[in-house]
Amino acid sequence: MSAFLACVLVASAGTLALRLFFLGRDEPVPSPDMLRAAMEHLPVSILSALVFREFILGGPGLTARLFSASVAVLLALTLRKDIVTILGGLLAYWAFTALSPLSP
Amino acid sequence: MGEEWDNGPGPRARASFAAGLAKGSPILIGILPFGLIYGAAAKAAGLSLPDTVLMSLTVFAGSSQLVFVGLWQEGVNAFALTFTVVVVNLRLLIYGSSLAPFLGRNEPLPLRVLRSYALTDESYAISMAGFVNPGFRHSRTAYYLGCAFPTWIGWQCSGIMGHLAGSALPESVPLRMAVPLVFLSLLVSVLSASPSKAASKAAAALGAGLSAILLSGLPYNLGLIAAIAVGVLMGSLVSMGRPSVPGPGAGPKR
Repeated sequence: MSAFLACVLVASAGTLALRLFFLGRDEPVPSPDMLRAAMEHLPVSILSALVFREFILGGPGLTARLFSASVAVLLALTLRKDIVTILGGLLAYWAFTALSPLSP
Repeated sequence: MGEEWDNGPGPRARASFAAGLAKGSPILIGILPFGLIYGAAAKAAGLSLPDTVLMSLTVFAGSSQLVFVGLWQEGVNAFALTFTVVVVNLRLLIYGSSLAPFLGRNEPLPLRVLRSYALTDESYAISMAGFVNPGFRHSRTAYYLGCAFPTWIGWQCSGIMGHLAGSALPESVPLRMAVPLVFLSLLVSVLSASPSKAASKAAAALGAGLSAILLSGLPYNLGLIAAIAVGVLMGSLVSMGRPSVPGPGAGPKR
């Protein structure tokens, strides 16, 4: 077995184990009420961490990304259509970078 | 829910899968360029097309695959490489713990393995945005798998295309912004789903978001995990003392 194949197999086995730990069980792992209440905040925390990281720390072009995000939030709040939000945000980003000589 | 899968997916499961498919399809806009980058990076690192496809099929976790390719190219030793990949994927453990109570019980083992394999940032975020909506009425596992399928097929195909063609996307096409915009759209959806919990959700969002920036220097993607923990803690602190919130088990009937 090649070193590459061994690495891929170990990495995929480890990743699958992480996925299976909760989702592979027949019954949910029993958890205290307090933990369950805390879990309610998990989706919004995950999404927010991902969004802030991508938009603020996404490399050059911060202003364009913030402009894109602002347009996208406005569209998401008013129209509530994912595809419109995504395309609107992309268009805003493209327009900002194309029209602004200061933005990379 | 288990009975819906006893002899293959029933009509409700099929309809729910289709609904998930429709909801998950916009993610393709973001997945395709990401996959192209992975395929091109794998080729640049000297991986063959079968090796590139094998990794996509077995690991199926974009950022960790890019980490794998980068470390492989640098000649990092096998233990450090695989350890790093698994640590980068630790967040899947958190996603699984959050998602598990929403999915069906008494499901056959192959289906449980399949739903585990399908867990990614995208499948979690898209399906969860539906599950936390009080009006959600679909078969959850089928809906979740429907949400995951576009990511899976998009990732596999774009990885192959990236390997074959290299990074052919011009810099002016801002498709790399698509995935963050998907997450943003879902965040707005989750935040506005239950106005009665707006304060605690806003606290969780701010806590996690600001921490993600402040802790971004931590290695192995651990800053993201720490930021999520801060968000959960802040949301819990704000909601403490308020009337008890219903857990996933108290949500809409499956």
